[in-house]
Amino acid sequence: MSIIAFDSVSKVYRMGSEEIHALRDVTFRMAPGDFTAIMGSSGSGKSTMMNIIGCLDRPTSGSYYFDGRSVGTLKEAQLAAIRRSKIGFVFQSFHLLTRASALENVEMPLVYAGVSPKKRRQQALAALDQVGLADRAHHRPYELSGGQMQRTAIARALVNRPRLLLADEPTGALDSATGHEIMAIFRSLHAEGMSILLVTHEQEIAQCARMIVHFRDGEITSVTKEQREEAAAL
Amino acid sequence: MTFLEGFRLAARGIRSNLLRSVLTMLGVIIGVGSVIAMVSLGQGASAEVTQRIANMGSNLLMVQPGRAVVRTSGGTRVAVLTVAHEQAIAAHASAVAATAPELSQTANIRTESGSHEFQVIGTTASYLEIRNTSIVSGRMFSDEEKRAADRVVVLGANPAAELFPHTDPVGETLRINQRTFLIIGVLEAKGDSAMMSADDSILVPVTTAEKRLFGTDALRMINVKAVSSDHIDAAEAQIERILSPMLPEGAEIRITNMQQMLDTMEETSMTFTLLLAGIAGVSLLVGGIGIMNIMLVSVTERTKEIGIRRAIGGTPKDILVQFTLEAIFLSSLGGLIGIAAGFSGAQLLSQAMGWAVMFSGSAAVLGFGTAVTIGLFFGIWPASRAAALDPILALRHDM
Repeated sequence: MSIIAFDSVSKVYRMGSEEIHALRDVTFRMAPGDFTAIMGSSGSGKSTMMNIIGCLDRPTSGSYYFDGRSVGTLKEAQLAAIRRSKIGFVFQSFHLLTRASALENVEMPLVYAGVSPKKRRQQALAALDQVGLADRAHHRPYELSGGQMQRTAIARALVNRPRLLLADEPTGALDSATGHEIMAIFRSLHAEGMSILLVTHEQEIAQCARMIVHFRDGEITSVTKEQREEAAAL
Repeated sequence: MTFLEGFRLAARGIRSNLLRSVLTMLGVIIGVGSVIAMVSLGQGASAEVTQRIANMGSNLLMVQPGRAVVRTSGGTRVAVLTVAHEQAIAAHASAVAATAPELSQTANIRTESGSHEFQVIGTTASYLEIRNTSIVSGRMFSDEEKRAADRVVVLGANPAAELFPHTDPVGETLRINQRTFLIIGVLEAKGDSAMMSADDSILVPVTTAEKRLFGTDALRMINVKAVSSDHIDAAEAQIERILSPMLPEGAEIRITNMQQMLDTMEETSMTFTLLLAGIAGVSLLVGGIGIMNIMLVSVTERTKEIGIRRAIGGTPKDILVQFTLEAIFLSSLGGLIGIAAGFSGAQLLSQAMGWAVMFSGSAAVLGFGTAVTIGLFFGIWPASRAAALDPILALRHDM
């Protein structure tokens, strides 16, 4: 069973009298454990795709199944429950709460999941340890470097042990050396079996994924599969 | 998210912007504080007045002339109420237990220690019974002294303490309006520094007041004690009937009883309380609007935070709860500070001005409850705006 299944999904925004087709009839599958990159220039529809996959938005038509469950008919609270328990978000600009420490930021999804404070702390520390930031747990975001902030955000995404890690331009705000560090984390998570979906416009970053989906004007133009996989199959 | 978590979040939100939070609370603090202070002082004052009137006895009536002296058609000046009227009431009104005349004026009192002003009341021995007081030292003037209009006085507790701080005044003399009087007794202290209190007065026989001091027989009032508080109406009717043929033409009298006075006092204090409640209500309304205003600003400022919270799994309800609790937290904290400020303010005022103060738990509960309600009422709208934000747009918000 696919973790992500799009069946002719369209998304139409209305801007005054004008209709904007952000997604046109997109059909797409992603298997559990896959590492997929979505590429496209700005305005290609990849952000809309990302929002729908992340259950932040709903398709105008067509159906979207996340982990076997139809999302189109769910209520706001049910969407929030999916985001809370099954999806981890990583954003380009980190999106950490500046007034809270790294540890408190990582704990936040667990607060909404109703985990007890003691267990929350343990799990958050474990997640920070996983990204190599255990010694920075009590620092505020402004006391951290860009790479450290993004690693905190990854720890926050991982803390509730999601089914899917959704990363929107995770290296966009970082220098290339730090970007490579972050991509190394993604690769090792993938190696441990995590499903990862990455949105980027950088070819080099997309190369880390096993499958690259190209977007243009709200449509998938091509899908590239990694050669290594085929080489391994031989 | 549990209620407790919501509360922790709200507390953090307030702590992180402490100065603004305190300024926001100020409206509620002032509103609740003034309610508490006013209620404490108002209840203190009304309890004191009620106590004072109750001390005097609720079966007391006062007969007072509209004007002390009227001019008849013949051109002569006649006193409206005299001792003759008082004796007529005592003799003929069956519902009346006792009567005492009052012929009073403020007079200059001179002793070795200096010159003072006190109210001098010409009356009879039954004054003690009617005013529910007694002699602590010496004796009351006798019928013999009254008949002879002797120059004897009985001091109230305050003049006794002021004029003779170190010695027993009984047997000493003093001068009232340049005439020498012998002190024969001192009244007990009632401790009610009230209007019409016997504590501040100097008593002389009514005949002495008439003939030797003030040169008039016009009484200021006739005190009447009914047989019981059930006989007040009957006593009033009898007094009316006995006096009306005796009054000079054109004269009017007014009969007041303590129950009426009590009712009037209560009515006055109720009006006062309502007025204060109105003022307090307005200030609480302003305080509430202040909280709403700040919460709206806060929601706008924290749009991105709301987006993040929504993306990582917070439901609209979680956001609603967080911001509503924050508003309630602000207002109830303001309420608590207000209660403390109100009580200490009332305490300070009562010490500075000598006002009676009474702390009431129900006022504190009411003040706190109002504060919480205000937080809820004025916080729910900004909070629902926060909850209704689209998470995608909120995340894109720059701030």
